[in-house]
Amino acid sequence: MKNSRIKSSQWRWPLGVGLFILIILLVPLVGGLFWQYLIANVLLLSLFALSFNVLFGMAGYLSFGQGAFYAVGAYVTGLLMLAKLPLLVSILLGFVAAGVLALILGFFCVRHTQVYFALLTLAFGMMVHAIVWKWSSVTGGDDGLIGIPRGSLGVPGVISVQLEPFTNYYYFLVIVTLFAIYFLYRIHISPFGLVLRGIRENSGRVDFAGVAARKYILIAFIIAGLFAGLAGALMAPLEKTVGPAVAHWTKSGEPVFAALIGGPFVFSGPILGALIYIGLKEFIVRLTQYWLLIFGIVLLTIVLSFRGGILGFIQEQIQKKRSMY
Amino acid sequence: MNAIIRTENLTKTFSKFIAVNDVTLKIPEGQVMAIIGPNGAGKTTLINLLTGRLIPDRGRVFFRNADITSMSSSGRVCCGIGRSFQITNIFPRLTVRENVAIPALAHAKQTHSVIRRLAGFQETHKRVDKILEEVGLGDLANLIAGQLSHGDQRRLEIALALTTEPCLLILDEPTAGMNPRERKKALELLGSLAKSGRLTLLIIEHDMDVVFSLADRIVVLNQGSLLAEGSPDEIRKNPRVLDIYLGAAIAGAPEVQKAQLKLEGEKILEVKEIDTFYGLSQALHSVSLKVHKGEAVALLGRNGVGKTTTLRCIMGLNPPRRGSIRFCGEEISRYPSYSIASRGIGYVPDDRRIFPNLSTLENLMLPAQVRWIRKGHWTVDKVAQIFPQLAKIMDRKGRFLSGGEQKMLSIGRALMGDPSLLLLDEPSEGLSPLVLKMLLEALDRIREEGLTTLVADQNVNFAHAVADRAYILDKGAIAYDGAMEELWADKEVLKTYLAV
Repeated sequence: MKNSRIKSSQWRWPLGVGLFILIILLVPLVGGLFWQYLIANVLLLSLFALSFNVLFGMAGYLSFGQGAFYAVGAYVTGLLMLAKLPLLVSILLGFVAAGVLALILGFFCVRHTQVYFALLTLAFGMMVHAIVWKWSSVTGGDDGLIGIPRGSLGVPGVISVQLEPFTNYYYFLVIVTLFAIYFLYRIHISPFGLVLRGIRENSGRVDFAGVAARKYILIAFIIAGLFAGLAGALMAPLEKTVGPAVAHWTKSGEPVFAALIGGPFVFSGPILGALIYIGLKEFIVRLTQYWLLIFGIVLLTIVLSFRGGILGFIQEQIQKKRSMY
Repeated sequence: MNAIIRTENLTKTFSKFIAVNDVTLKIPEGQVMAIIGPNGAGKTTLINLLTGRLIPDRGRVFFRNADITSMSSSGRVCCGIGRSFQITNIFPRLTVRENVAIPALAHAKQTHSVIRRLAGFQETHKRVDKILEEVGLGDLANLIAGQLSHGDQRRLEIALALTTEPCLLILDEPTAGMNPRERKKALELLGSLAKSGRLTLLIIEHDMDVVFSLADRIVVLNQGSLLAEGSPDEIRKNPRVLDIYLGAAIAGAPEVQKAQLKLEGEKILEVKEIDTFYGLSQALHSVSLKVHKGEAVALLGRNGVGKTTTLRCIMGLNPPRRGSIRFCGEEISRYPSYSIASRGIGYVPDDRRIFPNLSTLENLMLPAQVRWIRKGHWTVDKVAQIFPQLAKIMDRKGRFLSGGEQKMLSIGRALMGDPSLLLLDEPSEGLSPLVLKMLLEALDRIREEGLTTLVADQNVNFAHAVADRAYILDKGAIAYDGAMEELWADKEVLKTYLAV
């Protein structure tokens, strides 16, 4: 039954979570820079996709414009780092800037639902892309921002840790991302999360439960924007460069795919999705110059053959087996 | 007695159609009030106006003397106005407990919590469990709500409304689609709510047993307007209420030459023991009926008993889960609608379905454009002979036609498909006596062309003028079967199944 797919809060795999964190922390010891860089990217896409999934998987609102918040986080952080502000301050401001943009755009977007919501977010996303592209004096236009330093962490005059061998930045990124993911998990299992799932199931009825659904969607929109911005903010010092491509709708499509592959109704779905998305891309690029075509076909096959995503599909199978006994 | 909620001149129109017309109403605190009225009387619209789902065009709503006309629906819920819905409106893929947890958290003002674990709100969960016990869903708390039986879903629907701790609880057809056992359980639940004295109940219901066993006062709506208000006894005796339920006598109706009862004649339609469902809700219980060639048969019953469903079922729009439907000897119950239509069944739905942007002529010509629709016997001229009024308005767009003209056009359009059996759903609904008379004359002419008709209607006078034989449906099952004249004489049966 399609109904048994949900109820993800029962699905906690403490062992899996511990193993996941351990592998991430051990990567620098066994793998080289390539693996660290790859895992860093998986984590950023995971965070990006999880933030997107607060709107999509939890509340049922499909946004095609999350790239806008990712880009604002990345550009603000990049610009501030170039202006020699401390790393934490830059990232925090990038995070906040994305949230402010989400508040403004969300005000208009949450008045609509379904396809209108999706198209409105897409339009706003492309507007941000156009601004990033054309406003050369600030954003560097087509070239983007280059030579962003990674800076250092610490208390001025007391202690300072350089984030410049890459591994140091890797650990910094891992810690911040894991905290952010934990925060999003807490939302998932909070009363607020239940209300969002109620809105996904039947937004009209939520109002008659005494909850103003639209206000909650706006808060979800802001949370999604904030954490998309955080992913972007962490990306800028990682890549040391930010170009207008991060605001493009194809960037907004990445979390959509990650969530659909892994399973939007399971909290960890987007993480698995991000791993598969980036892993596949990395793998297929080596094989053929027509990698986009193959990549597209493989993604479509996964999305079409696993209803509810891979984790959603597995969960359904397990529940089916259980109900047979 | 103090009014808990009252309205002043409440009016709501949907693009020219007046759904609620100038309704001024007081609902006294602590009583059980029922709203009744035929289909399309505006009952649900009125409730939507009271609960903020719709905003009125004119008029005001007061809750305990505070003007709440422009308050949001969630705000009204917080004030103490709870409601359930006619069509089950739950959170289908959440568990039963999660369903009730949403209004419970909202009532405790805990939904804002973004970080605290849901599992940590012990008090709220206790309350959820208590409510589930109260409505008899305690054992089912961990099931996915969408997998519950229809009756249990209806009870969850009521539980959702109760959890908001309303002082005014509005229930829109709480027993709709229930089987007799579920209905009995629901009645017990409603009875205990009414007796508890902690809330005012406002109930819309078609089932007169439910209405008269629960209600202290009854409001009757008809065509958007308040027709009567009073105690159950007063309403029972009110001649105007009887009229809308039985249909007013039609002045000057033509004396239709009744065909001889041809019970041995050729069966054109034979419906055998069909069961039909809407989702989990069973609408028809083993309905059987026969229509012989050349006959006119009436399908009578109050609204909500399954008349429309029976016609939709024959037409393949809502195929039966069990049973057989034979048309001219051929089993058609598994065929798609267009295939059934092409075999010669014409269907005139109660909502007319006129294409608003096409002219009368274009509406009539449309069937001829479709390959599989039968053609031949009927032409536009011939339809215009049956309905002389249509000839005058051939160029007028569908949306500018009156209700009666639309009705005639929709019958005319069905004729253009050259049917041998015509299914008419509520042809008399909402028609003025004059138009009704024209319709009767037209149906008489159609009959002379040799058509067989099956008419579903609430209006006994109309059915008496049209039909040779009648079936009465009650709660989804055939309750009476006999000649129209015999039924007409049997006031006891009429009163039991058709009057209030």
